[in-house]
Amino acid sequence: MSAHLSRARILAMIGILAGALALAGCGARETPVSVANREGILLAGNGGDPSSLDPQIIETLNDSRISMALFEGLTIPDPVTLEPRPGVAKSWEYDDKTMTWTFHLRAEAKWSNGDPVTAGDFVFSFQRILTPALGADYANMLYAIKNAQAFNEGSLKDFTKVGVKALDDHTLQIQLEHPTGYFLELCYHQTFLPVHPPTIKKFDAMTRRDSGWDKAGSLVGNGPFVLTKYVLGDVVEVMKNPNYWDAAHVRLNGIRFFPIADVNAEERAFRNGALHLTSTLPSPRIAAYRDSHSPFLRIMPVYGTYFYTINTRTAKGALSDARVRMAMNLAIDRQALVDHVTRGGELPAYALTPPSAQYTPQAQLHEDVAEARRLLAEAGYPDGKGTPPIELLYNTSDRHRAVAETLQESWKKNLGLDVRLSNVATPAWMDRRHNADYDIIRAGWYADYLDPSTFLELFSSDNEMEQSGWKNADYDKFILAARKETDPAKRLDDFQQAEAILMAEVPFIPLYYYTTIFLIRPEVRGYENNLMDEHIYQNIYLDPAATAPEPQK
Amino acid sequence: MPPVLRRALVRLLEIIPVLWVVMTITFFLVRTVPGGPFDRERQLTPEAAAHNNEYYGLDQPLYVQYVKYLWNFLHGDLGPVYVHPDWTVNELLAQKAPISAELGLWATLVALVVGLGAGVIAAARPRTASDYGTMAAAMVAICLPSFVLGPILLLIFGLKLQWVNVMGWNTAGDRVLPSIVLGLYYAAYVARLTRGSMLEVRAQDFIRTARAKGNGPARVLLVHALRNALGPVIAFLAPTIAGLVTGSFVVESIFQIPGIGRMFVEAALSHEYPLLLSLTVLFTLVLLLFNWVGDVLIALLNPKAAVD
Repeated sequence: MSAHLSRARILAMIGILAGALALAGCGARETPVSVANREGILLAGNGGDPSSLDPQIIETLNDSRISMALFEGLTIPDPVTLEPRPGVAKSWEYDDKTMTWTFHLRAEAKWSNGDPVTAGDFVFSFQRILTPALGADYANMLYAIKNAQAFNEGSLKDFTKVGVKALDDHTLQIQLEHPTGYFLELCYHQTFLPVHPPTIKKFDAMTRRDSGWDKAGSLVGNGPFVLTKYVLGDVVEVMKNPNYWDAAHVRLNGIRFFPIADVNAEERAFRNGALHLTSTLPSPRIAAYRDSHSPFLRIMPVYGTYFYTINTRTAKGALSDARVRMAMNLAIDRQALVDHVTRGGELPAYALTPPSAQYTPQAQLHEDVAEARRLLAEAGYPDGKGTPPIELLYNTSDRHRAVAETLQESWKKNLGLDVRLSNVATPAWMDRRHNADYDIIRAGWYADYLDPSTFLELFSSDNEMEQSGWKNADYDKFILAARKETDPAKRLDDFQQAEAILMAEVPFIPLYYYTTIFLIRPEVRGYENNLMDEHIYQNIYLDPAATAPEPQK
Repeated sequence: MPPVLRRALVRLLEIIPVLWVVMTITFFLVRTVPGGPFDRERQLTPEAAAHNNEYYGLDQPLYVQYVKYLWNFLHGDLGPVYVHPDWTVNELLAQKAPISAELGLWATLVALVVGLGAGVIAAARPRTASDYGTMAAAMVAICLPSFVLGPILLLIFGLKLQWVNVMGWNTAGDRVLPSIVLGLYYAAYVARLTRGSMLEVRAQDFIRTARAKGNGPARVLLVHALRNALGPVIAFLAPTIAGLVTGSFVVESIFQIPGIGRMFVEAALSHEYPLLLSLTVLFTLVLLLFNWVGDVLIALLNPKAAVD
């Protein structure tokens, strides 16, 4: 046997591998981003796959990003302040006495197939999302409309009794159930987007969520872009809609949304020049980008709170005592938590509602270990003696675990409390949350619209989301008053009062206000920070001349 | 009918009851996991949740659901996808299974070419540097998991050198790294198996006869020895190819390949019962088929084995 043969073989194999790679490389590769810059196409990482493209079915922020490109509501958000701006409606007026909005639709608004967008289309769309048989998850966003809830829950069968009426093709009248200070903001929420009645009828999609009307080739929208490709796990591609009423001001030629669920893969794709922007950044990588002052890093505060809910009905008596709950709240260091554990530029949360231009809670927690120890002793548990072990439940994730371990340590050290961590998969965690089968549970809330009510409603007695078991008649009174209040200032005052009660009783532990952290290339212009992470694409354009050093290799 | 052929046919028919048993066990097993497809972080209204369960028949007794599922399955309807209602299981399989199959075939090619080559090199001069070197490399390939190797290769060829795309399945270049990462582990096994059985075969009388007849070393090694040493490799390859062509969660996630491997894990996590069942059945079917093909091939290479 000659050594010659084996050496030749080895060389041949190395040759094959190198050849294959060189073939793939073929000299200087033009990155997808530079091709896209030339073509005016935005390449966006978009988390996981969209659950659907039907705006009345979708659930997640990733889904609504696509909806915003394909559909347009009565209003659209201002890119920075999120104030409602004219969308399909060119103007509107409100009658205080009858609680009625009248929207004047622009005559030039068209569907992507050329049909005019009419007031009747909106009536049809609202009827569809409220039809009980569609089972739309977010239908309750429309409960601000008169009789919408009754219709959606099935007690009212006649849709003409619901407060939506087309006076003519271009005039839409909406009567409210109760004064809703944020109604115009609601109008740009995905649930208020119109769907194209002939398409829905053609696909028999009035009550069927799986009709497939919203696939490329059949979806008809009224937004700045039309759907051209939709492959699960691969890409959702939209291209400029020539029939859009304001097409002259749309500067992007198209957008490709890449569903990249693996956060590390998304970051790699960005560094590879395959994306203009990512949906997120893996938390272990944040520090590296921040420390190197990367021009690509963007930290955007958003309207959401990370907190723990305390089960006040738990058999383990201690937690039903507000003093114990307050002690747990005061014995931790939130600033250290966001600085050293979560490390994503989050703001420590000393109340439930995140600060906004409109409303910042006056009642704030003041961390104080000595006071915490005093309260615990006063409740009958000096140095934590006599308290049964408390279980802290979270859904399995490194981040949740890191936060939980930090707090467990603080409670042990500062209060002598024995808090035991347990984690389960998300569905099981959901189940136990709904059934109030926990002592303390990891929770969190992202606002559906920019208004404090989205947070404060969580702890009202009639809310089914938070099963803390905590009920307070005064709290409910202020929440109810705010629902009915027409004076914006008085309404915010009701919220302040309610939040003060909540922060005195603390059936929860606020930890931090969320941020959205992502990478974005300098060519992308007009992608503004705002609290709802809502971006209208009319505002965004690509400037290939804007360059920065390439992402670190 | 010759006994070999009859035996092969019977084994082929046995696949059907095995599939049914696997499907039935899976059907009931996945339902024991707490939670359901409509449990989300943001709670549905009870009406919406109830409606969804009713729409998909999840409110019916389990045995009714089972009979319905089986009936639809026999009629080619693999069921809905709850989380992505735009799509059916049939559509997703039609879209994605070919992609995973293609990746699997490339990976098999890597496993075969690299594995057989390395095995033959090692066996050509046992207990020399070329043997130890090749086997050490094989050991490294076995120990190096794809979730480490994949990102390392991407770091070098995708980020440092910027030669390849780090995501997608569009160009020929997109095939190279995933196929290597997926195939290398199996190549290492094939190399070890080939070497072992080659060494065994080399010691036998017919090899000496072949040499005595004046055949060159290459011909003896590659024709006489390799052919007879292939049995264990084929036995190993049959289930391996079945695994490779039905997708890999890790490789498909790292390289963002829209195949069924990723879907399998996602389906399990999000309680996509019909999708999970279809993928399990598909995997079982492919596994059994490849095992069957492997058995038939071994019988053809060495008719003695079929009679035993």
